[in-house]
Amino acid sequence: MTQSQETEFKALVLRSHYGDPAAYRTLLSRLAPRLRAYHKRKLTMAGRGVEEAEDLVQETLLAIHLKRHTYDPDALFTPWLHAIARYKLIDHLRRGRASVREVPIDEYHDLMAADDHVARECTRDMATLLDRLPTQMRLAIESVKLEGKTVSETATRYGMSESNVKISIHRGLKALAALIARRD
Amino acid sequence: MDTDQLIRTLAADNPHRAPRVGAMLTMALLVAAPLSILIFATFLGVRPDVMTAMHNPFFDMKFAVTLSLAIPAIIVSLHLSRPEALMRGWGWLLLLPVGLLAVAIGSEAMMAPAMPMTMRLVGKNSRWCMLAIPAMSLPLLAGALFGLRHGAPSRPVLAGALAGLLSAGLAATLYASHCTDDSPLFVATWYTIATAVVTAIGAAVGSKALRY
Repeated sequence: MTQSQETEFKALVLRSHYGDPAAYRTLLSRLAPRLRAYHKRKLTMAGRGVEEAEDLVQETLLAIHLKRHTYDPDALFTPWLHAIARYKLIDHLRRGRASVREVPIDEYHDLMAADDHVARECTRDMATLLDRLPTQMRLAIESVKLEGKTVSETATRYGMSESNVKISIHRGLKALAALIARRD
Repeated sequence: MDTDQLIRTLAADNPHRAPRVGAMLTMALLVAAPLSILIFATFLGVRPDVMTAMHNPFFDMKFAVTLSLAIPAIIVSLHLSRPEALMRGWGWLLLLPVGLLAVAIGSEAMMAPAMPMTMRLVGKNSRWCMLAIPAMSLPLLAGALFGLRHGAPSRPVLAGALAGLLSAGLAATLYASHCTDDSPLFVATWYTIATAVVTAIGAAVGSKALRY
């Protein structure tokens, strides 16, 4: 990992924190290929198929999002990021009944080794889990995610208030994470 | 859903600001505390001779021990709620009550014994102690786990054990004002067993509840 990457990511984190939506989207878009490369490499080393990687990338992004308040802006960003990615990897391997010992020892530098832009189009997990959410949460998420509608457009379309749409998205994401955690 | 769509959804949720883990833990403990106090007030209550007992350094020592367990456990559990946190450099905080107890046992041993050692060790309340501390811990433990769920501990079992330690420390602080056994030997034996029970429950529940 280079110093400049840490600096770049951290600048994006801080700008997102102060409410810059473009910065947050840029940050997540930069993180995704990193996480993809990381998870593919680790899955291969653990003797697992790389086709599981995309689910893992999405779970990691969701965890990064829902746990971003645990990041201390005075600390380095990369170790925090790596800890979440590694946690999600271990969790994933455990669920597949692999032992933790199969997770290769790694340092947070590993995370910054490479980008991988080859995403698989559809992942089974998130889509099936999304179907299990309460209607309002699912509609709000689908409107924003599939059609790229803004929060206010979604609000008008479904006759909800904007704050209601925001809450539905947030609760929906938390519910998704809970479904992931409970799935075995 | 493809990853870009997920990113778009997450970005739409960016304005949402979650409270800090410390704030969440504080709130959860404040909600749980009345329940523990209710158990205390209903079944135990402050010992009648508390005004005289306060002049007994061994009575006061009990609070020093229980609070030196509860407060560091709160600090360490908040530290561990950050995913990249390590125990290294923090574990010694949890040895504070052990050190205090060792000093107390040492100083009691140097004094002329008021009671035979077996009496001091077994006391009159050991069964109550083993029952009351875990019972008063449970609401606090539930609160602590709820608060810590807001964090992202990389080791849920360890984080759950700390939730157990902190709730046992707080419950033991309440219990200490009821119990008439002030010997550090009693505290070192029975409080420790009760704390171990609560810690084990915390670790077991934490292994599921603190996963994210």
